[in-house]
Amino acid sequence: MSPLLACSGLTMRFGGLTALDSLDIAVGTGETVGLVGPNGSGKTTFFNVLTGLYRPSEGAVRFEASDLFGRSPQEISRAGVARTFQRSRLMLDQTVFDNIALGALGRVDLGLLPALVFRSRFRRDLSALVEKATALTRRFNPHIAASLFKPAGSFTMIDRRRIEICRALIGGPRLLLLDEPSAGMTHEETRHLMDDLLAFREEMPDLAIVLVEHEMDVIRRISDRCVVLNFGRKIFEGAFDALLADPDVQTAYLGGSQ
Amino acid sequence: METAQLTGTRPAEVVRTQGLHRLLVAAIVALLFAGGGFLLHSEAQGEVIALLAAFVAIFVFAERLSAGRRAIALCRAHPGTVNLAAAVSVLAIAAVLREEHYTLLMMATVALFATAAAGLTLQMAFAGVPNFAGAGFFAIGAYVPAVLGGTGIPHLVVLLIAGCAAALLGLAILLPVLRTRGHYAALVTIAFGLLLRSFLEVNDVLGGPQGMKVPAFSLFGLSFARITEIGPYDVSFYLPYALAGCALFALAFFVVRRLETSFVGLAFDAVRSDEVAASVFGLSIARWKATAFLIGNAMIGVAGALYGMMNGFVNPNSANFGDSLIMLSILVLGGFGNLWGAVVASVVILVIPEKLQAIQEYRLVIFALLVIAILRFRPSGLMPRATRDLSALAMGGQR
Amino acid sequence: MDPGLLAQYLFNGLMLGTIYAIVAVGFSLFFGVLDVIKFSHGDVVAVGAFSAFGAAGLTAALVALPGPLALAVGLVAALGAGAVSGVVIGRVLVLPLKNAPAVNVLLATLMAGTVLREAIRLAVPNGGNPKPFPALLPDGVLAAGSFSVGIDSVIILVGGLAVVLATHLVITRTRLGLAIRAVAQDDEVAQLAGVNFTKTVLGTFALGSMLAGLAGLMLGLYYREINFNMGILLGIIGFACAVVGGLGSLIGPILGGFLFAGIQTLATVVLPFTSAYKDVVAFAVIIALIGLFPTGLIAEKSSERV
Repeated sequence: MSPLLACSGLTMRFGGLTALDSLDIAVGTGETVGLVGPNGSGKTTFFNVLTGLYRPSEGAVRFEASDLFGRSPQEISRAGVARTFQRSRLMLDQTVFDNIALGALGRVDLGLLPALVFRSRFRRDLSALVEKATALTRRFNPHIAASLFKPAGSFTMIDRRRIEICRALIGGPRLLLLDEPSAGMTHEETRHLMDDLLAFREEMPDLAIVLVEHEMDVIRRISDRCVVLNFGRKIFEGAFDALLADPDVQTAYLGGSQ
Repeated sequence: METAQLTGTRPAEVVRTQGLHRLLVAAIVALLFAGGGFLLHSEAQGEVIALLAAFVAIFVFAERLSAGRRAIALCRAHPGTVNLAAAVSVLAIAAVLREEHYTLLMMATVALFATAAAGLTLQMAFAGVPNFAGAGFFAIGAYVPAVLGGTGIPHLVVLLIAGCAAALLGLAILLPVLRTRGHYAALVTIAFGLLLRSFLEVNDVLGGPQGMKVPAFSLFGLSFARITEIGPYDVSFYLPYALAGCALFALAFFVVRRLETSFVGLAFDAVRSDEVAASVFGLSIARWKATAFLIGNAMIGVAGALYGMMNGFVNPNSANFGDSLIMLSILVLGGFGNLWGAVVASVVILVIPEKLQAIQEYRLVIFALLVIAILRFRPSGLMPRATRDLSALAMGGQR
Repeated sequence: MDPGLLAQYLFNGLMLGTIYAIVAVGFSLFFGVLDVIKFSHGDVVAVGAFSAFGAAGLTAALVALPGPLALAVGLVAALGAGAVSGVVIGRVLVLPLKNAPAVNVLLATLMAGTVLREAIRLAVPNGGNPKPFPALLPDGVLAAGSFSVGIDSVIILVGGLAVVLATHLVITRTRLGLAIRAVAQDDEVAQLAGVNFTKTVLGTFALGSMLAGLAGLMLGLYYREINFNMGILLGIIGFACAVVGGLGSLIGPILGGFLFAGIQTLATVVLPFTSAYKDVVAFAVIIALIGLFPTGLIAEKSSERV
C-alpha cells in the first residue's frame, strides 16, 4: 500500500544554509510518527515546508494521489493537511468558536451572497459548525464546549492548546501536524493532553499524525514510529526503543564532535 | 440542552423583562440622538459647551459605574432595537428641524463621512488593509456625477457608477497593496492619494485646479435642489440630502454588520490578525484583502458622489491628504470596527469645530493631539468594537 | 543635447539626491533601532527650515552679523530644533507605542507631524504663506561654457555630501554608532551586552532628526523659499527612498535617494512635456518601485517566526 504522505529528497535551502537536506519521510494512513531532534535540526522547517509556508528547493512531496511540491498553503490545506503551531497562534480577543471555525472556513460557502442576502443558508452552515465545534471541544474539555462563545484569551494555556488542536481537527484533515504540543505546559498538563489525543485517535483510526516533541515520554506514549533529524538530515528512523540506543542519536543529543 | 431551552416556549415573565429591556434600550438611544440633534442645531456657544459637557459626563458614567456598564451591555444585547430606535430618532430630528439648512447640511455631512468610515472599517478594521487615501476615493466618487450628471443617466445609477469608479481606480494600486504589508502598504496608498490630487490639479479635462460643477441629485426626475416643500410643510433643500445620506449610511451599516457576522467576517479577522494561520487553514490572503479593499472603496466612492452633488462642486482639494487623515481620525477616535463609534466620532470631528468658533483655527492641532492621545492611551477607541458572538445567529430563528 | 544643459540637470539631480538621501537615512535609522516608521520626519525638515529662518531673522534684527556667523546661527537653530523635536516625539510617542501595530505608529506620527506643521503655521506670522529664506551663503556664479552654477549651490551640495559621509562615519566609527548597530541587530542581546536601550534609541532619534533639520536648512538655502507644509512631500519621498533602498540599512536609503532623484530628473529630461506632471510621475514611480521591490533593494531583515 502506498503511504498517505511520501516526501523524497526534500531539501530546503535559505541562502547558504541547508535547513532540510534531502529528507525521505513517509507517513501511512492512521500512523503516528514522532519527529525528534535537537533545536534547529529542521523539525519546524519541515512543517513549514509541508504546509506551504516555505517553498522547498528540491525534492518531491506526494500526498495521496496528488503532488504537493511547491503548492500554496491554501491548496495544501484543501488537500487535507492541518497543523498547530509551536507558539500559540490564536486570536485571543475573539471567541473560541471564531477561532475553531477558522479551521473549517475552507469547507463552507464563503461567498458574499450567503453573507449578505441568503442568510438562512449561512445560518444552517453556522449551526452545523457550532454543533461540530461543541462535540469536538467536549471531547477535549467539557468546560471549553460550555464556553464556546467566550474570548479565547480567557482560557488557560492547556485549554488554548486544546482549542488549537480542535481548530486543526474541525476541517476533517487526513494528516495532522502537531508542533510541540507540550511547549510551555507542566508534565501533568502534557499528560492530560496526551490522554485526550490518544482517546481521539481511537475514534479516528484513519487520521495520520506527525508530532514534533522534545518530551521523550510523549513520544514514547503516542508514536508508532520515530524519525530523528539533525542539521536537516534524517539520522534515525525506527521504533522508539531503538532510538535511545542508537549511537548517532546519542551523539546528536549529547553534542558529538561533528 | 441550553439551545433547546432557549428556542422552546418562553415563560411570560421572560417575555415581559425582554420587552422592558427593549424599551429601556430604545429610550437610551432616543435620548442620545435627541442630545445629538440639539448639538447639531445649537448655535449658542454656552449651550454647545454645556451639551458637550453632558455627553462627556454620560460617557464617563457609562464607563465607570456599574449601572452604565449594564446599560451598554443591554444595548449590545439588543442591536435590532438600537438600530430601529436610531432610525426613528433620525426621522424625528429631520422632521423637527426640516427648515434648518445648516443643521441638515451638518447631518448629511456626518452621515456621508460615517458611510465613508464604514468603507474604511471594512478595509482597515476588518481585513487590515491600510487606506490612507480615503479622501482620494471620496473625491473620485464626486467627480463621477460631475462628468455624468448631465448625461441623462438616472442618478441612482450614477451613484453606482461612482462606487464602481472608485473601486476600479483602487484596482490600480491593488497589486502593490497586496504585495506589501503594514507601513509599506500604507505608503502606497498615501502616494496614490497625492498622485491623484496632483493629477487632478494639472489635468484640464476635469477642470484643473478649479474643479467642476456637480449637478444636484435627482431621484426619479425630482431634483433635490428644487424641493422646498413637502405637502403642507416648507422644508430646506438639504432635508432630502440629510435623509438620503442617512439612508446610505443605513445601507452601509447593514452591509458591514452582515459581513461582520458571517463567515466572510471571520475570514477578514483571520487574515488581519494572523496571515500565517489564515493561509495554513486555506484562506487566500489576497482574495480577502482585495474583497475588502474594493467593497470599501466602492462605499467611499458612493458617499463621495452624494457629497459632491450636495455641495454642487468638486475640486482637487477634495482629495487632499489632510481630509484622508480626518477620515482615519474618525475611525480611530470612534473605535476600530465599531460603526456607531464612527458616527459619534464624525460628530466630534466634523461638527464641533463648526460650533465652537474659538477652536476653528486650531482644529487640526486639536484633532491631531486627540488622535495621538487615543492611540497612546486607549487604542481601541472611544467605543471599542465588541467581540463577535455568533451564538444567537446559530440558534436560528430568534431575531 | 547641449552638454551645459546636461551638466545642469546632473547638478540638480545630485542636489535633490543628496537632500533625499539625508532625509531617507533618518527613516532608515529609526526603523533600524525600533522597527517603526516615524512619519513626522518630513515635518521635522520644515521645523529645521523655519527655526533657521526664525533664528537668522531675529539675530539680523538685533545685530548685523557677518555671513558665516549668521549661517552658523541658522545651522545651530536647525540642528537644535530638529534634535529636540525628534527626541520629544521619540520619547512621548514612539517609544511607548513600540509594541503597537505598525499602522497605529504610522498614524500617531502622522498626527505628530500635523501638530508640528500646524504649530509652524500658527506660530509664524502669516504662516500659511510661503516665506522668503534669507541668503546666508556668498553670492557669485561659477561658469563653464553654457553651464553655470551659483557658489551657494556648490557649497550646499558639498556640505550635504560631507554630511552623508559624516553620518556614515558616526554609524561605523563611534560608540553611539556601535550601540545603534547593536540595537538594530538585536535589542535584547544589545541590552545584555550593556547597551542602554532607551538612550540609544533617543540618540538615534536625535541624530536622524538633526539630519532632517539640516535638510530643511539646505532646502531653504537652495530654493530661497520655505513653506509650512513642505515636509509632507519630502517625508513621503524620503520614506519611499528608504523603503526602496531597504529600511534598516545605511547605504540603501542613500542609493534610494539618488535613484529617486535620478528618475525624477531623467523624467524631466526625456519627457519634457511631463514637467507639469512631475509630481504625478514621482508618485507613480514610488508606487511602482514598492510594488516591484516590496522589501527594498537591500532586503529588510525578516522577523516573522512560525
